[in-house]
Amino acid sequence: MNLIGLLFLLITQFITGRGVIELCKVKMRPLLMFCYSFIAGVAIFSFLPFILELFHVTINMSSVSIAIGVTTIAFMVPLLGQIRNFKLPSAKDFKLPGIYEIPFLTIFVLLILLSVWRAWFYPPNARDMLSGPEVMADLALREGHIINSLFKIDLQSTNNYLKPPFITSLQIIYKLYVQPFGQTWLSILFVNFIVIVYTLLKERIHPVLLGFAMLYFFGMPEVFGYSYLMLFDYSNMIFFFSGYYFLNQYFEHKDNGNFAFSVFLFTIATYIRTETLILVGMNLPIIFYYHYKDKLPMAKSAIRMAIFVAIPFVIYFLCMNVYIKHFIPIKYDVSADMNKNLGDISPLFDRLSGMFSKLLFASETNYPYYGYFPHLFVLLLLVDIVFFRKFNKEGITLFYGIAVTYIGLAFIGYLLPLADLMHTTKRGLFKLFPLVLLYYRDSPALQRLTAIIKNWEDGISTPRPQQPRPAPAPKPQPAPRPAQPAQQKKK
Amino acid sequence: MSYKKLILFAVAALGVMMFFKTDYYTLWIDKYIMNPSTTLSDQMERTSAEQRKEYRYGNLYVMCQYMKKTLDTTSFKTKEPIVLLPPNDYLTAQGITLFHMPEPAEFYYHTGIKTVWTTSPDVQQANWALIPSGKTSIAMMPLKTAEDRNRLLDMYKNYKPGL
Repeated sequence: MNLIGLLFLLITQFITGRGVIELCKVKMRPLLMFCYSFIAGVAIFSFLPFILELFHVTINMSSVSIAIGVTTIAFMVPLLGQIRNFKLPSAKDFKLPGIYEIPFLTIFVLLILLSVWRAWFYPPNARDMLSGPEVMADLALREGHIINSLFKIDLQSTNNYLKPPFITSLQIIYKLYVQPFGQTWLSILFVNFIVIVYTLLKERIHPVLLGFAMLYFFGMPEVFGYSYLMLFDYSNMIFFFSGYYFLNQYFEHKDNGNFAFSVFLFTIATYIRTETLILVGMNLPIIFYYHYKDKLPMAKSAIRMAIFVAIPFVIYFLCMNVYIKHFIPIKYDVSADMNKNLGDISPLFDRLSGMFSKLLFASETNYPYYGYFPHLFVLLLLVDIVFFRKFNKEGITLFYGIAVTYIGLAFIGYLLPLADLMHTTKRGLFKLFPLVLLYYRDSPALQRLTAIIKNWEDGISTPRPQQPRPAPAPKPQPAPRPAQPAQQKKK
Repeated sequence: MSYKKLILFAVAALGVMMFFKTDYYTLWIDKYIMNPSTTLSDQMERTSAEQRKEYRYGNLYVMCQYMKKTLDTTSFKTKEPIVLLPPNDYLTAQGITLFHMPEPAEFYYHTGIKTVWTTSPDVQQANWALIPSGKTSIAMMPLKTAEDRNRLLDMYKNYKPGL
């Protein structure tokens, strides 16, 4: 393993990602800024070998290094004015965990280390990789191009070469700089994502409750496995979730920065899996709703909504109509894979029910792919609905995101029968879980429980919910004394 | 330190223990996290790229190395070796379970050698074949004539290639 190469990539990606955040003018806590800089940096780097290929530049150490250098310098420009204000996360941001966090953190750190080790140790093994992005990246390093001799062999058994070049590009960079199997970029995304989620939840719920919620999140074998098994879905989940987080920040603070960064994150999610564009488009109603509620002028609202879908669409177009159509030497027509009988909507309902009964709440006879994480969410939701019935803005946005993901994935399965339940949809459902996890910090039940634990911990008696009391009866005013006759005073 | 924090610590520790004591999560830990067939100490002894490939891909990797070696050392030199793969259903029917044929793209990734399935449009260009040799072994066989190739294709004709 080339540690210097890894360090070089970490630094350049951090600068690039920090530049993206600066360009978007989005404000966030230093620790989140630190993590999102790496995530955004990885996203930008995933375009570099792809762009070299689009311009027919030979891919090798020199061209990739120049591309990295130019990109880093370009994204450093917006940072120049900020150098004086530049802050790494301070000791305050890395506040020592409470003693009761230690049992959970020990488990999480061990699982993270295991995931990082496995991402480094194991060569890529998923079939979708070995007949697509991984082999394209490997050959690109030997032959200088992403479009290479792979297309001269028998490819009748696969269409994985049609996947967007997100993984191919990152694999090229990480194979060149870090180790022959690449993949370390997945650990960078994973570790930063976990820190982000933990930090966001800790802002509002007690660490013990957070620990249990995260434990169930880690304990989804299907999801945790893909934190080291290279495929598209874990990365797609991270960018999709982050898109929602910043979209809600936009709804709350009504600033362009959060909106721009949200669009950037949804664009990367679309770049990773192009069908995400459908889910992105399904967010337009909630954006319109908040624009309407905030009395944003119609023209401004329309422009923002157009931007929200247009930028992801540009990436979709670049992948499907430029890269696949004009660069991949095998003809592919997406309409050939589409459902020919759209009038029959029974497959849509079959998929919706299959997602529920065979995936999310699979019985003991089937394998419960996601452990008891979905059950926990339903239980919490019931408590919130029955006893509290009050949801904040973020909670509503997250519910909307959960509904978009669930219905959208079923719709994709109905539209494209190749997107089957037990593979594409099963992994597509990953996108639900961080949204669910983030909802935990908005859950009125958990917030109430947090207040009770904190008050008990700090020795404050728990205030009961305020009941409206009848207004206190006005105190009887002493009746004004009648004026004494002047002669009495004299007396 | 406040005794209340210690109580919370005990609750957290107890909760973590109970979590891992439930059947489902015990199974997860045993099967996927502490998998006895892939212990960490075992892995730490095999950190070179070749060792890791062998460790991960097992028989497939050994088979690929054998193919490469055979083609490098054979006296039957061809301009471009193209290897005909047996259908997996055929291997299963013969009782061979040690080897599973991946698709041509994956073979190309491991070896840089072109392979074809029996249904491939280029199947008539195959000049080598990978064939089972007994129940636990495989062998490379040169296809020197069209007859050699057709004999094999005839043998495989009832088996559809696939994963």
